[in-house]
Amino acid sequence: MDRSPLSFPMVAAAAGTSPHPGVQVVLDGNPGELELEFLSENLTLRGGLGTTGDGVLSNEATRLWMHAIGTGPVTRASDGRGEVATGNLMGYIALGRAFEDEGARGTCSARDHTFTLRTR
Amino acid sequence: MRRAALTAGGRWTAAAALLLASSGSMAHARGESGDLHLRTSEAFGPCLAAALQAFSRESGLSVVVDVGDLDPVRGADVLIGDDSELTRLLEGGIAELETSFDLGSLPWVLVVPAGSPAGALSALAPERVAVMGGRASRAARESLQGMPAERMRVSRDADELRRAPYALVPRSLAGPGEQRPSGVRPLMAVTAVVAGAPHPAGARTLLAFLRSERARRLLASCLDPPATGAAPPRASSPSGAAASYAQSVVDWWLPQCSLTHNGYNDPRQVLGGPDAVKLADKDDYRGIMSLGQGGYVIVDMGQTVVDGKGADIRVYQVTGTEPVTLYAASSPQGPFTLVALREDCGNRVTGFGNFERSCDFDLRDAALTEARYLKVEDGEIYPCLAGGTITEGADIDAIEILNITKP
Repeated sequence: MDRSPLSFPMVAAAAGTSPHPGVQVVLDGNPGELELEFLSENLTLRGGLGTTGDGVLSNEATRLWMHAIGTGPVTRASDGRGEVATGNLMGYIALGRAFEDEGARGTCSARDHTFTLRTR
Repeated sequence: MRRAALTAGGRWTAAAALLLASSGSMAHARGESGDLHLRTSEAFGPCLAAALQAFSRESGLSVVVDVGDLDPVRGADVLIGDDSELTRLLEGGIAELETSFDLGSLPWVLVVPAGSPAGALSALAPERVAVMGGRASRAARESLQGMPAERMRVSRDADELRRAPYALVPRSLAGPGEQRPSGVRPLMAVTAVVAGAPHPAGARTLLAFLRSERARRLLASCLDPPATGAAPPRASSPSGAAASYAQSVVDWWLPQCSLTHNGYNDPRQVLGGPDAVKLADKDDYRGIMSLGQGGYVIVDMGQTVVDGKGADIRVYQVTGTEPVTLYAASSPQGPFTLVALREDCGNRVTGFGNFERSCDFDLRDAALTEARYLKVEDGEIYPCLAGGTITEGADIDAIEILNITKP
């Protein structure tokens, strides 16, 4: 399975306060294709990262299918906004080219995938 | 997509004898115009021909079989697919839960040239290994995740899979080579009528036939009989103490999106024994908490779970195989240790039809000897905004201790 990073343009917003504060991060333009729903407390994000059965096409033209739990500390970017520089991702990831089947370029369930959320 | 038409060749008199119990619906079925459409996935298509031919011959009803993704249903009357393929369709009311039942299981097999030495497929295959694609093949592909992607060929073409000298496929798609056990969880063929089916009476007549002993015999050459379900919920533990279910909620969280869209957000519904009920209307349940996208509930079991023989904890979940992640701790504040990640929660529970499911967890998998607080987290992790049901995420009914501290 190719280990090159995949990137996606995302949009983030605060989402709810009860029973715990949350943050919603979605794919810019197609929010239901790639959605991250985080609980946000103690400068840490933790929550589910998911795609539908169609997967989501990355900037690198690789399609990603994902059902995983992400955790990462929030740090302050140079412009003052929050970002996650080193996040851990536990769960299912599958890759394919744009029109290939799920997993045609590999499938991996693991507890040590990684993710980052960077400002742009 | 491949289509195969099975035309009616039988006579009404034969059908009347065979389908006595449903003779009323048979009359309605024959009054419906057009062919009955059955949609199934690649693995099960080859298993159905004999049974559907018998049905058509004996009922006078013509069945058209469409092979491909079950979702969207594309005008189908009846669906047959793996548990994992039907979960969202049953949960969302696109297929009728009350009509669903298991037809049988279908093992995955490793195919190698006859006479190949023993060993892992990755070591044996000098060329690419063919693996069936689609939603139902996730576990199979995960079993080969150590193999470089360029050595795998993911395909949904039944002929290509049968031609492959090295393959990991459901037994129905195995070619002429030697078949070996794979260790991958077998597929489970589940059938259901599509809600609002164009031919509702015909669809019910077909399901009545598929339930019959005659159909079971015709399917038996391809599908193994459904396994017996997990033991029913207990009123008492093996040690004689009252059965122990979650006693109180310590903490919970659902994303705001799930809180807004889901209909079952009360964490107290996971307390006590299994009591979930599916009511008549679509999406109408009682007694569950839907965990949404990656939500969780932390419960106090009221006593200590110990690592004993076999599984220590059972989670009850409704409708399909939605995965569940479990963590355990000895203190309500944690730290919580991961016991199992995204465990398919689809074991049948004896006496609960095809509605209540369960999954078992063993503290030993987390190197824990005991715990009292359990965190149950959604493992489906489907995008909330794309969900389309009010039951997104694993739908938790109850949490049970199987091994309790002895007095």
